[in-house]
Amino acid sequence: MSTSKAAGFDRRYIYILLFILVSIPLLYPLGLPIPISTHTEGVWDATTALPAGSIVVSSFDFGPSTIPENRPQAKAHLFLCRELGLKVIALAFWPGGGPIGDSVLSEVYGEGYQNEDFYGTELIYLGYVPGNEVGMQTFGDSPMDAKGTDHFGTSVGDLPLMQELEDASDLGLWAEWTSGTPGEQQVIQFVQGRHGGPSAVPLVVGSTAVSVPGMMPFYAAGQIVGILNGLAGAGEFEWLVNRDYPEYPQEQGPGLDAQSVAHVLIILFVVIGNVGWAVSKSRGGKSS
Amino acid sequence: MSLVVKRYIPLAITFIMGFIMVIATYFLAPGTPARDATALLTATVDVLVATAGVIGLVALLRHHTVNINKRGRFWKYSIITLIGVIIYLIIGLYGVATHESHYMYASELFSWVYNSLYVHMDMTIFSLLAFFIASAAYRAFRLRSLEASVLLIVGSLMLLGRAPIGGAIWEGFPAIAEWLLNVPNTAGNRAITIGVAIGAISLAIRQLLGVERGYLGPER
Repeated sequence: MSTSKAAGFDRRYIYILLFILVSIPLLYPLGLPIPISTHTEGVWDATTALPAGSIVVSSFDFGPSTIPENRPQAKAHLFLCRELGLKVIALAFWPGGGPIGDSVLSEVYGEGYQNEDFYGTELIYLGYVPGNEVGMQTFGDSPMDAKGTDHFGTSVGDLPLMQELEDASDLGLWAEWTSGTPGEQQVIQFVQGRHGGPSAVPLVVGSTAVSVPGMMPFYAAGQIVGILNGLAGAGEFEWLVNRDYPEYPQEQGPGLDAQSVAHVLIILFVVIGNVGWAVSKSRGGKSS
Repeated sequence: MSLVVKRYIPLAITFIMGFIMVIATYFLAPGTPARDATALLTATVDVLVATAGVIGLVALLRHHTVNINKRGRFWKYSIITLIGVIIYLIIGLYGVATHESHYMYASELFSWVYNSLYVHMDMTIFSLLAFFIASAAYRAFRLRSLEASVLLIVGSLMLLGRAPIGGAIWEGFPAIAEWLLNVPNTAGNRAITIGVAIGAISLAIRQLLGVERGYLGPER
């Protein structure tokens, strides 16, 4: 196939092929084994090492576009926190994360969790905390001052769990679910860096796969102790949770199978495109 | 507007506020009254952000209204944008005004619009990337040079190593992907991060001292 033919190939055929091939494993999962990365093990180890009653911040700093990657990460981690008896203060520094956090908590702790007895002592949902980095810094310095009420309008002064927290150094773990700014780098800069460093405020991150390369220097430096890398990271963490808590469903299997098919298809497209280009070039065709 | 108002007052505000924050961050111990006092300054950012939100709304309404009046490019989409913004704003304000909730997101109708409409539309747009990447893989990724070849090979290894099928084909693929992420990627990204940080510090100093004035707009 000449380059001109390759370039002129109707891209809609590619779209249709991708759509069909990705749909098949979603409908009929392949059940491929999921290898566990050391980054995922870091999140597991940091969380399971916490004594019961430790306070974990779960921060929903992403919008709807990255729900397929970030949401299952946060959900599996919250489930683990619940099972381990960890206290959770959930919040969002992204406006779009506010409703997402509420829906994830509803799934893990049950609909109407804000009316349950444990709410206020073991779980709090502050919802959207405005101010981006400044909101993070205020929460780290003095959580009671970051926002007057929780997501449902209850004064934070009426929530006993908030009284246990003087500043961020009282936290057992900060779990950051992010796909941009403010995200993990702002937590490192405005919370961790101001309150004793990684040993005082351990940070685990669940991120979109495309953002993970940029956070690796912070992981290597120990400022981030574990990373859930995109959908694969979510699937790996689900597998770990399911191993110890079989009632937790492994929902990301079909999605990971579809991702596998898409990745192989993209590599095939690259190979076919390059073979066509090389053949065309050897026959004296245009190289562009 | 005089030069004093347009230039000198903003420069003075920038210098004074920046100087206070630098002193507070690097020279005042946490928990001291002086450091706590600067928290008030930090909190004013919320007010500025809220004001910027209103300015953004006005600018958006004005831009699309003008586009519709002029029958400009994609003016029909401007109508949809205006309808969406205005209806969602009314729903949010209605929820607050009727005391259905203390907080806008907890308003049932507001949440429904967000969860049932906006979330799915946003996810759909983002997921279209997969189709564009597949098309680009066929049409644009070429082994034209050594650098392009390295990029393609490393990219392919990452694609295989970060999906379960890679491990199913050969258990070495996930290990290679992890090494690529941990070693060469970390080295490159660390250099970029340090470079960006040095650049940001230098820019901040220039702004504080009034040498860099681009943020004030063009000088006339």
